[in-house]
Amino acid sequence: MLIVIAKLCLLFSVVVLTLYAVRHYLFAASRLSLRRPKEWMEFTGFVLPRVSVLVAMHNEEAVAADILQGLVECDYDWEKLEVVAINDRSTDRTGDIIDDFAARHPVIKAIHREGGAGGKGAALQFATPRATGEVLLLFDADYFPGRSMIKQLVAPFCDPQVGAVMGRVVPHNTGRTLLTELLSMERAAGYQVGQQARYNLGLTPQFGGTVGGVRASALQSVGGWNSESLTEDTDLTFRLVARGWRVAYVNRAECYEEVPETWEVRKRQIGRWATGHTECLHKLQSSILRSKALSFWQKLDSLFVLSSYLTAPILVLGWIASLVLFFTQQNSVALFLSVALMFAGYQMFGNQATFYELGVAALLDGASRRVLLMPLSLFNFFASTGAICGALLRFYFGKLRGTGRPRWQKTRRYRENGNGNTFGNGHGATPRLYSQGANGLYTRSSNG
Amino acid sequence: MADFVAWRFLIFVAIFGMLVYLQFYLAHREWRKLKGEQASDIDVNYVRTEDYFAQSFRMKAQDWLKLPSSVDDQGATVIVKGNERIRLLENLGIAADGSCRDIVITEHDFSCGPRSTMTREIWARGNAVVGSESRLQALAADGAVDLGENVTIARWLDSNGPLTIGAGCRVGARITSRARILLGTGAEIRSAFAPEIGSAGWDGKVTHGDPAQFTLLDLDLSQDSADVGRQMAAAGLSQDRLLQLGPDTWIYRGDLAPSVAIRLKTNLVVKGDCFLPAACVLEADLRADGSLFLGPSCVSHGNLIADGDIFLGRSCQFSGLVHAGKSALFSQWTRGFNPQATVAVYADENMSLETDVAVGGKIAAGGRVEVVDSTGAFEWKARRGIGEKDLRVLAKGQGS
Repeated sequence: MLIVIAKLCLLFSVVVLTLYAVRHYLFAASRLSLRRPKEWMEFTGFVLPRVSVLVAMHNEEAVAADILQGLVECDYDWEKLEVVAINDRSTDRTGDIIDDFAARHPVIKAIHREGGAGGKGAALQFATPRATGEVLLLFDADYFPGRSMIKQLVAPFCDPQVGAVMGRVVPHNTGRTLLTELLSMERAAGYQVGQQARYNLGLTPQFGGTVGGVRASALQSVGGWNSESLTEDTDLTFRLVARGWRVAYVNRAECYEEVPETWEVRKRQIGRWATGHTECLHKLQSSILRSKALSFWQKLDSLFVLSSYLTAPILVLGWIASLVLFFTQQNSVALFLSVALMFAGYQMFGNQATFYELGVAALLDGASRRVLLMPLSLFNFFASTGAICGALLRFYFGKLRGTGRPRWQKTRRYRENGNGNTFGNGHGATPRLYSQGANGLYTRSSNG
Repeated sequence: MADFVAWRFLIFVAIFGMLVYLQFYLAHREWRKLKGEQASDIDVNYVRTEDYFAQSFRMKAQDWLKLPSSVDDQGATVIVKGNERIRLLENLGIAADGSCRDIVITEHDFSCGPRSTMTREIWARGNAVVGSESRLQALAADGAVDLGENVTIARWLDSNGPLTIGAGCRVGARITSRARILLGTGAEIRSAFAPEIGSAGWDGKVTHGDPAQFTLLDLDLSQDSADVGRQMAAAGLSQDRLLQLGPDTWIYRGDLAPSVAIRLKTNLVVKGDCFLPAACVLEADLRADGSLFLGPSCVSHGNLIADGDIFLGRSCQFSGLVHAGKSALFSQWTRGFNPQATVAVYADENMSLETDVAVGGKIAAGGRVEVVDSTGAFEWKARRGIGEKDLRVLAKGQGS
């Protein structure tokens, strides 16, 4: 009986992981094809709706000035722009920094949220009724929007079916630790290959909740933000597409972010993503399958995206099954399936990226020497697999025991804070982009 | 024998181990090189401007003018910067079949005769006249530009004054003007940006007569269901195919082909092809997952988007953006102007303009923008299976 179960588990693992691997090969191959990627750059500057930029900030004194100054310096028509800076229950100087900017720049609207549930979704739910834009753009506080970022992101909204848009995230602190370098490669694969290929193929690029935006009427049509979700962006993406809205991807709207510099922070981040995605899968799978607006392939790919973090425990299941078969003398079956499992499993790791996708992304980005780093991605693979399995075990045990859902956790920042201190990460800190002069004005630092 | 197998196994293990070690060794070596480096730089100060190449060249040229200069045998001032030779002249007139391999900056006008070859950039601070069948690298003029027939410009073309492109000219990249661009028949370019862009035969008027005043059937999908049902039935459409997407946007499943001219008041997404008869008025955005065919004299105040082709019949007017996922054809007397903003037209493949078409803003294509005569327009329609019968159907509005 045990042997039969082990064989079935191993076969299941191999089939699922092979399907994912094939999917990623197709995406990478599509990006290597000569077909022009779908893009909206030619309309940059010609689509000028009224825009509200929402920036939720919970204890973000280290980075608040940078994002606000970046937005103040953008080239969008101020008559059609408002920056809604949300001080979300901060206990540090974030509120003061926001008030200071709001006093000097009428384009900035300060909103202070004193209590209520934690999480970005809750902060956005609080601020959205106060925003007046036809389009709501979102940035996390640790991002550095370029001068034309807003124009680039709003261009796809000339299409009345586009409900949300996503730009490309590029890590700023790439070379600080091995982890940041590996995450940089992973992000490149996720955006340059995964997101762009899905957009080109008429599937659904994912709205990531930052460096992106949503049409206010589309948000209204699906009932607003889900403050209960750990990944309110994924939740919104699939509620929108199930209703019939499209998500556009703008690869050239590149924006810097900070990625985790330590494995501990990375573990928490990917654990939150895994839990949020899996929550969304359970909540939205039936509405995706029943949707009249989605094609068969769009439904299939949506389920692939939402189930992606389940591949980690499925892979572990395959490993355990292999061991069982090996030690019960089922060598012929175990050998064949284990080799297949190794091949398929090797393709799957991290944030839905495969080795092949990493290589293609490095090539498309003109950073082909980075492919030499790929063997080191094994560390990220094992660490992510462990973190995801742990998070999903806690999630499912929590559901079984009725102990409630996991708590939202803020991702740690690594830039110098407002007092010139650094976070103790053992590697120094990323310098601030802007510094406050004696006159109170922020100017771009020479080291930024 | 057993010893032999063991040796083979050990050799295999050794080679395998070396290969594993090698990839980790190379990876570690690469990591040590990259450690401390930042990501590939994003220029956060980047602002997209349509005349970027020309302005960038002018700025570089301004810097070169500050360098020490000498006088050559022909009395021209020459600046040498590395491998570059920059010639400064009051005026330059090159005779037919002439050529020049230097970057040229003229204080006043520039002209060259037929079949001239200029292999480097030219900056004329006055007007520029280029003879027919000449070949140029790139040209910036502070005055007007006049290209003769069949001129080839490998890269960009920019002017502060009016810019006239002769018949059969080819420009490899962007054309920009701060005044007006006139494209001759058979001209092929990648993109044009100017307050006014017209194809051959355009007389400079932003409208071709007033929009036709016909009785239109109002289609306001935001009204209550019974009213919408009556409107849809009168237009020969099925209400069952209608799906509300958002407060101001609806989806129509299948092809949309109203039997009478309509006034569409809400955003509409058509999950198929869209055929609108003559004289329809679109007050909001219209999108088609397939192709979009507008009959003559239609007026669009919103954006027109299609994953397939877009065809605008004669005398159509639009004031929003037009995006075709494949190609587009604008028929004679089409006008695209908006007093409050610049309009933009883009086709992922090719963009074809018949004669006497005008747009205020930008026309661009992933392939090429071309001015076609009636034969070219006929071929475009024939390739897409649009025959005379279809055109008659499109032209058959209630008021036509």
